[in-house]
Amino acid sequence: MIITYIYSNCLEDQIRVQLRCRNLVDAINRTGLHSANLLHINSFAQNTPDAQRMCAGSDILVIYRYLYGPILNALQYWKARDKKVIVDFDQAVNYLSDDKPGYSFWFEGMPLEDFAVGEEKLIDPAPLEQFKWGLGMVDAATVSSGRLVDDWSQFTRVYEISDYINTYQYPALNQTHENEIWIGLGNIVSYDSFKKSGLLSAMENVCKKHPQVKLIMCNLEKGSGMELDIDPAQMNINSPHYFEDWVSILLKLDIGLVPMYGNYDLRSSRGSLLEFMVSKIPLIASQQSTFQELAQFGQWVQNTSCAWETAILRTVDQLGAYQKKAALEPFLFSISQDVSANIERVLKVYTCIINQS
Amino acid sequence: MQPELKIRKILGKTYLNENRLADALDVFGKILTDYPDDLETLHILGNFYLASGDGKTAKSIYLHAQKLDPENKTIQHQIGLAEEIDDKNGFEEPIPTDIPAVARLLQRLTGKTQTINESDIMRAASLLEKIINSDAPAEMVSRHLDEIDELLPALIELNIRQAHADGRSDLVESLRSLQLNIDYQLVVKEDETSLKNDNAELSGLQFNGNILMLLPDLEKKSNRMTLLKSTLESYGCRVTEKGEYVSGRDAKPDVVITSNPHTNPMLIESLSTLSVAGIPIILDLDTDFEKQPASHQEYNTKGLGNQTRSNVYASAISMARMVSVPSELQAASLKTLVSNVCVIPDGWSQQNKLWDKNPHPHKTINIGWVGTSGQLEDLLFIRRFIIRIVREFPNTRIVIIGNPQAYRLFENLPENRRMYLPVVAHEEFPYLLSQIDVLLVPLRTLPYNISLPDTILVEAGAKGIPWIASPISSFRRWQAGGIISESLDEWHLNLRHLIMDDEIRRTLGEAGKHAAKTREMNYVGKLWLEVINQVANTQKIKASFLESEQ
Repeated sequence: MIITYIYSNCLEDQIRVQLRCRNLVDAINRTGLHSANLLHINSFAQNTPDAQRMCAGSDILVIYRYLYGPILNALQYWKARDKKVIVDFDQAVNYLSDDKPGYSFWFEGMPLEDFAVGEEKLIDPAPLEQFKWGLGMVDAATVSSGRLVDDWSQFTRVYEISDYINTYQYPALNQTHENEIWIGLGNIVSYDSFKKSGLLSAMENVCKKHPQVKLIMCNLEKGSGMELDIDPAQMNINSPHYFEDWVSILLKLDIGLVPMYGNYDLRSSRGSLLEFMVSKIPLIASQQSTFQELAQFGQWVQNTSCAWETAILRTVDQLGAYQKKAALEPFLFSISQDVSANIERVLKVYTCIINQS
Repeated sequence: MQPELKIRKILGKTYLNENRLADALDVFGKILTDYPDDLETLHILGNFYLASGDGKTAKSIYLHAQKLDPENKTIQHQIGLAEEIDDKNGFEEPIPTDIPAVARLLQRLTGKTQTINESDIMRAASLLEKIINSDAPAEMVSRHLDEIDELLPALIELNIRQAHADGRSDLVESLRSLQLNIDYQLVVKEDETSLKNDNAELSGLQFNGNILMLLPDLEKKSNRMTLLKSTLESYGCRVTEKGEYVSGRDAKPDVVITSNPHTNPMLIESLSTLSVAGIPIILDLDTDFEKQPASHQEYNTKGLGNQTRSNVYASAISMARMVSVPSELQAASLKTLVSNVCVIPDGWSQQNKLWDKNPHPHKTINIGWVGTSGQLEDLLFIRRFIIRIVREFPNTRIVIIGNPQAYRLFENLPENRRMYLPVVAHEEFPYLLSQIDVLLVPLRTLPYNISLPDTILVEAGAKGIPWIASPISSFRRWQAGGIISESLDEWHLNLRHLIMDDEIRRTLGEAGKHAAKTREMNYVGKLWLEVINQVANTQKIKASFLESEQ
C-alpha cells in the first residue's frame, strides 16, 4: 500500500503534524512492505507535477485537517480519478472558542499565517462550513478520539486512529533544576481551560506556598486578557512551534498537568498524556471520561481549584515517590503505544477504507 | 392523468423520437396492458399497426378508442385510413399488446429480421434431430455453426412451438422475449452502423486554412471554446489561440472565431484589424447577453450594462460574417439585428473519459441542482417540494453544486441529508454529475431563461442522469431523458415518482444517454466545420469577384 499524507506547514500545526503525519510516514516506511510520502498541502492544492506524480502513484491520500477552497477542488480532481481520499483531523473545530488557536480561521475565515492555499484575504464561506462540505466528498475520516467519531459520523464514515508516539523521540534525561520544581502544561493549552478548570487559581496558591515551584506554559492562547497572580520569576511562557523545541521543554518538566474543560477539550487526543508518560513525568489531569483507558497511569482530579491544589501539593511534597511510580506502569504503557508497534492497526483502517464500497 | 402513467408515456415518446422502436413498443404495449382504456396510447399503438401495414389490427384498436371518445374526428379519420389498406392475406392480432404480436409488428416496422418461414423451421428441426442423434454432438455443432447462426430465429420458433405443445406458457413467454430482443439487437446494430457512417461522412468535410481563435481570456476559456479547439484539431485543422492579433507580427489567418469579445473590450482592436484585412469573423455568443438580467451572477463581469462592453458587443456583431449561438431562441432574437446567425449547440467530448466512467455507488438517491444551470431564485420556487420529498423519503439527499447560497436554502435539513460540491474545472464536471441521481433544472419564466440552451440536459444525458426541468423551448425540443414539469405542482409529483421508481430513472437515463450521442463533439464539430467552410468560401467568392471587377 502506498499512502500520501498531505500536511500543512502552518507553524501552529507542526507539533501535531509530527504526531499525525510524520511519525506515521516513518513507521509505515519502516515496515518495508508499505510506503508513505509527505506532500505539502499547497502543492496538492495547486496540483504541481510533484503532487501529480505522488498522488497518482498512491492508493490512498490522507489530507491532514484542512478541507477548503482549492483543496476541495484538488480532492475532487483525485476522487474523479478513483483515488481514495480521506481527511485526518484531531480537533473539535466546531467547539473552538474565540480564545483558542484557529478560531478566527475556522469561524471567521481569516487565513492562517504561513498557510494560504488560495489568494483570498478572507475565506468565504468560513472554513468550518467548507470543512463540512469536504466531509461529504471524502471516502472517510480518521480522527484522534472516540468523541470525534460520534460527532462527525453523520457526515461520513469516521474511524478512530489514536495518537501514537515515536518513543525514540523522547530520550530519558535526568533533568534537575537546582532547587526548582518545574510544573508544566501540555504543548498547547487555552487560557480558558486553564482558568475554568480551576487550575489557574490552584497554581497561584501553589506558587505562593512553594517559591521553588516554576510554572512552564507553552503556546498559551491568551484570549481576551490573561490575569495571573503569579510572580513573573516563577513563570515561564514559551512558544515552541517545532516538535524538537517542544520536546526539549517537555523533558525538563517535573510534573505534567492536563486541564480539560468544555466540549472542545473533551474531544482532545491522548497525545499530551502519552508524552508525559513516556518522559516518566508524573501527571495530573482533569477527571473526564475522555481518557478513561489511561486512568491508572496518573492522578485524576475534579475541576475545582481545591482538588487541583491538593493534588499538586501532594505531588510536590512526594515528588521522588511519584517520579518513581511514573517510571513504572505509565512508562511501560506508553512504550506499548509506540507508533511502529501499532502501525498495523493504522494500516488496517486504511485497508478497510480502500475496500469499502 | 396519473403521474406514473404520464412518465411512462414520456419515456415511450422519448424512445419514439430517438427511433428506438423496440423500446417504444415495449413501453406502450405495457401501458396498454395496465391501462387498456388510455386513449392516447390506443391511438399511438393503432398508428404503429397502421404504419406497419396491418390495417385490420389498427382498425380494431381505433374502434376501441372510438368507443371511449365517439366524437373524436382524428380517430374517425384513422379508421378510414386503416380500412383503405388492402391486406387481404393479413390477420387481425387477437391481442395486439402481447409479445408475439409486438414482435411481428416490430419486424414489419423495421424490416430488420427475416420472416421465419416454414421451410427454415423444417431445416432447423432436421438439423436439431441430426445433432441429437449424432455420436459426436459437439463435433456436429461445431461443423454446422454457420448454419445454426443462420437458423437461430427458426430454432427459437421451434422451441416456442414445442414449449407451447408442452403447455409451458412461461417458457413460451421467455422465448418470445428472446426473439424480440434479437430483433432489438439488430435494430441497435443498424443504428450503430449509421453512426459510423456519419463518422465516415465527417472525414470528407475538412478545412485546410488557418483558424485563429481570438479569446477574451486565455486563462479562463469557456468550455465551448475548449471543446471546439480540441475537436477542430482532431479533424486535422490548424488552430491557433490568441488573446490579441497584431497585423504584421502575427500570421494572417483564413478564418477567425471569437467568443464573447465584449467581455474583454481590448479585443475590439484586433477584431477591427482582422475585419479591415477582410478575414471572415465568426462571432460566438454563448449566452443571450441582451436578455441577461442585472441580478445574474455574471452580469457585472460579462453583461451589457457597462457602456464599453455594450459598444464592443454591437461593434463585434457588425464586423462578424456569421454569429453563432447555442440556442434557437437566442438565434431568433438576434436575427432581428443581423442576417447571418446560426445555431451550433453545445456538445460534450468522449475524449474526456470521465463521461464514460461509472458512478461510485452511493446509498442515497441524490437529488441535484447545478448552480450554473440557473439562479438562486430559480431554485427557490421549487425548494419546498424538494424539502418535502427529502423529508418523505429517508433514502434521499439533496446535492447542490456550485452555489453556497443555494445550499444554505436547505440548512434546516439534517447534515447527512444534504451535500455541497464546489465547482471544479470543467474536465471534472462529469464527476460532479455522477454524484446526482435526479437532476432538477427549474427556471422561472424570464426572457433570459427562456432563451437558454439545452446544454445542462445534454450533459445530464451524456452521464445517464434523468432530469426534471421547466418547460422552456430548448428543453422541450431536447426532451430526451427527462420530464418537463408543466406546472408547479408537477414538480412534486414528478420528483416523487422518479424517486419511487428506479426503473423509470434507469430507462430515462438510458434514453438521455442515447440521445446525447448526437451531441458528442464529433457531430457538433461537423456543424462548426460547415460554418467555417461557409464563411471561408463566401470570402473566396467575394475576393475573386473583386479581382474580376478590377
